[in-house]
Amino acid sequence: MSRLHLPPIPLAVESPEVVRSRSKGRTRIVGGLLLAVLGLICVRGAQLCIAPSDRTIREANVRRWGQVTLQARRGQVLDRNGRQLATSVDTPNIIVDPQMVPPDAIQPLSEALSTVLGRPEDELRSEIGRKGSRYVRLAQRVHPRTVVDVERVRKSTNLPKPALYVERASRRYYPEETLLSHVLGFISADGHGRAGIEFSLDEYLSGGTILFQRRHDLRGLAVDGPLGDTARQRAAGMTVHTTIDRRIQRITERALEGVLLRSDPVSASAVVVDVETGDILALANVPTFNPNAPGSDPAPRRNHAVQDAIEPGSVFKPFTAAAAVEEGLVTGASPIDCEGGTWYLGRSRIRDDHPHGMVTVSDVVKYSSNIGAAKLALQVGAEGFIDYMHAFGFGERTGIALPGERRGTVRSADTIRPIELATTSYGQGVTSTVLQLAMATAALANEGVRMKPRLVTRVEDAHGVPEYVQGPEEVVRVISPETAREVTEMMVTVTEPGGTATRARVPGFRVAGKTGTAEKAENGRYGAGRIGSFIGFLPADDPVLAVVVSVDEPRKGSRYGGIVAAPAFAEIGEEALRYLGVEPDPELLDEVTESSEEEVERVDNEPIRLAWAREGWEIPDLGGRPLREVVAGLGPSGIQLDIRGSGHVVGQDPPAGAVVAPGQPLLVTLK
Amino acid sequence: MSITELTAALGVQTSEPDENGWDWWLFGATCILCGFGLLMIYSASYAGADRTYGDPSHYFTRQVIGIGIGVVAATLVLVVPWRWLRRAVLPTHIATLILLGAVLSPLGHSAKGASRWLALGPMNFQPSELAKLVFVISMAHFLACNEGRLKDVVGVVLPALVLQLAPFVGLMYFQKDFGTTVILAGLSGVLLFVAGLQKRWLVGGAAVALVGLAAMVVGEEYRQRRLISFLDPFADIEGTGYQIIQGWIALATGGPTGTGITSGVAQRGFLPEPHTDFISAVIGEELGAVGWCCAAGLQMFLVWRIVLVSGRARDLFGGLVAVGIATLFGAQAIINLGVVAGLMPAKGLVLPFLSYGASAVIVHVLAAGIVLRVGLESRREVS
Repeated sequence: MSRLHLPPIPLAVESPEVVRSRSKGRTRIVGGLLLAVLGLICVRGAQLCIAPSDRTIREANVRRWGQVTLQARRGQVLDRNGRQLATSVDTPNIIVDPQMVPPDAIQPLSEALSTVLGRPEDELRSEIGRKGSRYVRLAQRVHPRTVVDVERVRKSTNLPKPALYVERASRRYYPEETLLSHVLGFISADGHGRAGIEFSLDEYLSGGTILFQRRHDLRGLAVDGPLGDTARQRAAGMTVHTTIDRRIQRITERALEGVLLRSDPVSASAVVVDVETGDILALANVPTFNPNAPGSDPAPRRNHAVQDAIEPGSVFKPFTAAAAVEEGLVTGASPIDCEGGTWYLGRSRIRDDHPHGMVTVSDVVKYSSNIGAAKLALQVGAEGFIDYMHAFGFGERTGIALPGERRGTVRSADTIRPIELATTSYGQGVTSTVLQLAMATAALANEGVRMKPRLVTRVEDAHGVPEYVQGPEEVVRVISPETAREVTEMMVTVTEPGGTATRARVPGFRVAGKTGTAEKAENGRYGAGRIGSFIGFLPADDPVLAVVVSVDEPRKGSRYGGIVAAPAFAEIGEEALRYLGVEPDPELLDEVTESSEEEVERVDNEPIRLAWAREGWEIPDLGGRPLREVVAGLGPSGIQLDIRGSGHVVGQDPPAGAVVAPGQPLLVTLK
Repeated sequence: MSITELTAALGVQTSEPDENGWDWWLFGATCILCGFGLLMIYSASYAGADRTYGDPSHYFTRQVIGIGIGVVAATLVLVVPWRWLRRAVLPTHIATLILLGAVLSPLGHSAKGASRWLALGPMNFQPSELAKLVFVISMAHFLACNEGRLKDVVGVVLPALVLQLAPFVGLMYFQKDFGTTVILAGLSGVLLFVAGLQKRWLVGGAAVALVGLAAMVVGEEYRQRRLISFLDPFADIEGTGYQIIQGWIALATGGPTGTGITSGVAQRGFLPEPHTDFISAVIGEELGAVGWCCAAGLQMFLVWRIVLVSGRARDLFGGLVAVGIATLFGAQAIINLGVVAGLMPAKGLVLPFLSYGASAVIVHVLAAGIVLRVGLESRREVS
């Protein structure tokens, strides 16, 4: 290079020593400057880390953090034996992110998906090409095989996972279909309870949707790994243990279906209470609905037993008698004049359907004399009588964990007129729910102690840690055990020959009961409609169950409670006692019961058993199984159940004998 | 001169090289920087690389290869006779110019609106990275050959600028590589200054450079926008200020100690160049102020060690090469870190050893090797 430039001008050649020493000094200057600027930058950067400006922090919050509302898996509802009444299953949806699909891929993708999803191609094309959207649901609740096919399509079109993916959505299932529908309720599309326990315990069951702050990348995808299972576990809804006994509920509903067939009522309700604890073992109404598909008609969804306050009619008389006996005014054997069927109280006339003259107090209950009941109430006096009615729980809510409970009305002791007191004694001019009647009846059976109705025993979180525990709860002692026994004996006569409800008899047991046939008040006047009802408990000597059956407006055949409601009572009582293993009294077994044993057996098939075969479960033949057995048997296996339809299994994929690993899909078709 | 005294005081002979002149401190700093760089490049790029190439270590692997090639080149420089190296300067100079020219030919490979790469099999080579080092050596060689004659502005300084600087700058101009142009101009200034250019010429030159800089800014609209966004990045958060704000968000997220390696969010699409120009933002997010200071501190340590080598150099050539390389490292670090810290307008320059860039890391490892060689030469008997 030295030869390239112009010849040196000799004037100012400095000696190497001068040059070298100057260059060393200048090198230090250069180095010092570089270090000083770098040091400054270093401090500035550290400052940006440790003390960023407010604007930066604001931008960071807006740009970096996304909120994810995680819908918790809704908790289960179980019966008293831990059987599933309501549960949640995951179902796959097919999602596309249009922004991730390049324009030239739209056509082949919609072509391929059209055959897989069975949707018109142009429809898919417009959805996949939708601008400005990041989330388009192409198909819902697809076949598990479709999921595999979609994955294949995604690979063949070279799309990344976030472009076309499967989203697992939680779906509520009621494996028992219509069973207990009014108590369970149902959930709306947004996943919240709309009726029943689903509504009243929504806070526990939904587990509260959890709002996750999580960092997302530019495309809005999560950075911090899948929030999947642990978060869902944390957010999971709680399990609700109810007092309902699935079999007794089934027995009760079948009895009501019989009522529906025989009497064609507008509706009918029944409640079965465990006398000692106040546990609701069954609570049923007809008509009913399927919470898996609640439909739009609210009428069949109404829980009449809790949400309707009706005039109870003659079933009120045992409580009137109990008040009089407890006050020491009468005993069961005390004579009372039933005035030959017609009695004037002031200007008002009270009539008995079956006229009697002098009878005992016990006969007033047995023959259901209005006049006798009125006289007993008048003897007790307004203040005392109304107090007893309140003590039996009338006119106040029971506090059961169900929405829309009615209070019913009992007239005030201060303002009640004698005729009103008289009619109240036989259940007119007073209203109550079927549930209230059931709890009052259970109080008679429970030696005079009224219990709070218990529907929920325990609420547990996903780890089984109890969040809420409810033991049996006494409300008040209404009458003494002696009075309770006295009234029980009166009520037993009702089901004995000559009483109004011989059809309520259960072979092998003494049954205490009372019929009622109330005139249905419509627009303030009594019309032609009747409400036939029956209250009772059994065995009378050591009561286990209190049962109330109420039939609203029977439109076929008899309308008397002793005819429309008592047989259902007997059916429930007989089958439930047998199921509970209560020993019948051999002396009372006057007739051999026919084949209802077989019917109880039929309630449950052999449960589905799975065999582990190296890599998965060997699937048995599910054909003919009801949904609840499928869910109960396969639920714990981890197999991805995809359930179509309802009723009984008509098809399964893969077929019986195939091995399915946990997490793999199994399609079950029911009809 | 106060700075001289200060740096003299700072440069106390605490860490002398061994008796052969081998500077373990410099060697160690280079190794640590390479390792730190590899770690952060993987951390900053694995997500993007996985998405784009299906291989999280795509960039990591290439950086490793780059370091390997650099080590081979540096070893070569360390073992061949010194005079061979000086003889190789002119051919290398010419070869580099040819490579720079080739970029503009059909052999070149364009990316992001600039053609700066040569396709070499699976990897692309960026001659402008090599050009910076070659320019330093070539300029040092020229000035050393004219030792003691820098008062002759017309005979020495002007030819230096015309013959050395102008061809490079011209080719850079065609590549629209503004950053490298500025670096080359700065290097020329530093080398002339250290070689003994008179102060009045230095001041004049700086003034000319400033005017040239201003002219370049006025001439190109996008440079104006960059300057405006540098002054207030929040003014256009979605546009020109986007990158810098994202960098600040990353730093703010990092806080004192950071979110941890690979856990940064900036690289998830927010920062356009997380593993190259904005690697320091990723360092700040994942390792916090501590990591940022380590990165800047290591750069400072490196520059300091090289300046010390320059002071010990046996001849003017060695001294100029060392100070030029110190400036090369220091200036690039200043510009790269300064952009992220908001103290400089945006400029596409790498952070030596820490940014991804196979060409850059080859050249930088080679440069470190050359400095080590200069150090070795300082203890060799003058034959």
